[in-house]
Amino acid sequence: MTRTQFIIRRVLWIIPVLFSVALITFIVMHATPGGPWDVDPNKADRRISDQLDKTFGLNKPLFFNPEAFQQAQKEGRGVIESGQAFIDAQFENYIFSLLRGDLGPSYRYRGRSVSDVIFGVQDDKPAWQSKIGTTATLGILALLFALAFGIPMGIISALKQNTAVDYASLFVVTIGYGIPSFVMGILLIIVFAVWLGVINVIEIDYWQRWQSWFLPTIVLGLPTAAFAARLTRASMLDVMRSDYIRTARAKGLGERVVVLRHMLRNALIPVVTFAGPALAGLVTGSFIIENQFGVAGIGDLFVRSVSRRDYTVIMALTLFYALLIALANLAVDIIYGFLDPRIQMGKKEG
Amino acid sequence: MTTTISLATRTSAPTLKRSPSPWMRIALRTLRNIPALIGFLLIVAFFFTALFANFLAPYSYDKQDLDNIEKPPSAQHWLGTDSLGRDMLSRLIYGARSSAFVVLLVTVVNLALGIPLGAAAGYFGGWLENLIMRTTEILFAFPGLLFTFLIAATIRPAVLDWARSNGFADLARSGYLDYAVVIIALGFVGWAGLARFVRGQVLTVKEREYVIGARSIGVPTWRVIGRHILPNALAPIIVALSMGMGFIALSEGYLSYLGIGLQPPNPSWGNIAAENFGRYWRTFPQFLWLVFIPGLILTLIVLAFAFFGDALNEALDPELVD
Repeated sequence: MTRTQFIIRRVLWIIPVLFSVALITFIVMHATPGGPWDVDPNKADRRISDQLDKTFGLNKPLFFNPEAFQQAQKEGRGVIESGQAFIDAQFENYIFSLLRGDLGPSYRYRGRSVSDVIFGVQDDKPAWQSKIGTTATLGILALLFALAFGIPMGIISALKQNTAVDYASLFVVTIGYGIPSFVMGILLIIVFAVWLGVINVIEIDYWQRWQSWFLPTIVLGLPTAAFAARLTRASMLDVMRSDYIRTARAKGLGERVVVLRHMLRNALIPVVTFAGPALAGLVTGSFIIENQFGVAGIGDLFVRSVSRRDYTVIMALTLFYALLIALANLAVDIIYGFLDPRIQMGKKEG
Repeated sequence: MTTTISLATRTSAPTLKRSPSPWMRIALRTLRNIPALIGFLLIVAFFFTALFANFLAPYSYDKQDLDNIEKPPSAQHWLGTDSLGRDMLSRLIYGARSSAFVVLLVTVVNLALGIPLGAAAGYFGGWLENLIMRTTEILFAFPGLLFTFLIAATIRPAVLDWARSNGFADLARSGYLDYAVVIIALGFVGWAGLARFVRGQVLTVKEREYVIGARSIGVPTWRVIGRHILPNALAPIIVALSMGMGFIALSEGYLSYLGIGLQPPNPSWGNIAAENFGRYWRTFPQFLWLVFIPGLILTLIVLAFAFFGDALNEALDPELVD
């Protein structure tokens, strides 16, 4: 298989993956009786919720509509129209409107479409303050923090292997890896907000100040920083033992040149490749931190929408996350193919 | 394993020494690593506490001592009491039981799905392998913990409804079904990684001479897989399991912290931390231990599994012979 064929295949494979994700999410969402209207049982009026169901097509069957099919047959309509009646069900209708680029209406944000809820900004705030922009900002900041913190730490501990510096960094890495982020979040909130009093989360326009992003960025990025440090260290140690480094030293190159030009360039390949999946992981994993720090991003939106049964928002966000993960994995496969021609395209890994 | 006694090389030895079995050697090599040893002891302590929680805990996890509400540590309550007068130490000890229960059962689910499916995919290949591997790829596209959150949040009412309408109202009220919900949610995606891993292991072992030999003398397929392939792929599977257990404990903590895992009054380190953080963050630094001790224990358990798994992995590396 040529490289182009391989890439085309991998790209096309994303389509059935996303379809399956949509199907499974749809089934899981509808596994529970009830719907978006009956969250508050005191307010729900049977007649109103029936009317709402009708308006949004939630009274239709989930997957297939044999009743409408029989109706169409009785009325003597053609095969195509009867077929259309048969799949006039919630799932197919959602998929078809999705294919037209319509994410549907939100059931809980009154009068707003899902794309408006996710991508829209209120008043005339900058675009990065939309729900998705907020999460993207947090994810990118956390990734930058992780790389800026993890890579130098990994390099230093590899260059000073088995010294006090190495062990100290190993200790930090271990803590960063093991501590659950909700514990880390609690710790930082208590220290900075309650004890030192330097942060006041209740402030209006709090997230417009750049200082506000410090804590969630650190909490979100710490495990990734720890992983980046481990990866860099292992990769550096691997490179340091290789023949071309010995050659570089043997021909009398200075230590600076050896480290910067020969070691780093090769040692950082796995770390750079890891950045894509790391960003996907940070964006999908940010919901706990968003929930804890009151960041109004899509993670927080997802958590709220699950408890409020806002079906269309849940679907749209799950599909977005799945697409992000699929693209990150695709990028890794392609980059590895270019970086290392020895990897045979199309041959599945063991 | 047969013991080998080589007199020729051990002339100075006063007694004949049995050389340890390979498993024993791996165990010794793993535990020589100090962090791994500490991790191993923590894991043992964790399961021991979970198993004997009812003997170790001074009180029940939901017994209220109304004369001692919100008390700092004392001789009567070693870690103090919470706002409902429940003994904190007892809640933490029963929290270990909750955590261990979830960790073990999710691991069993992962094993029960991952090993047969992975082994079948690797051994038989063809359309079966394609089907299983494509399924795991789809599961990998789900946004991890977030999807677990969705499953746990949506199936919980469904499971409770089902129990109530089928005459298990007591069970629904007891909170034991929350364990089932967490286990289903974590087990749903968890097996995929193990299945891929087992498949890889089977693929590497499959073409070895002893497997081909076994097949050529007419050993049935299931026996070839069960007796010859899996035992030789066992060691790396154990490493993967040890690493996975820490992750399961962590995930259970997250779910319970967010209020969709185990529900109070059933104790989980996650919900203990959440409950007390919500109540006491204003009164800092009072009652802080009610938040940080469960967090600290969870961190230690996660690290214990990671260190033990790491060291075991190194010990299994045949290039590092002692």
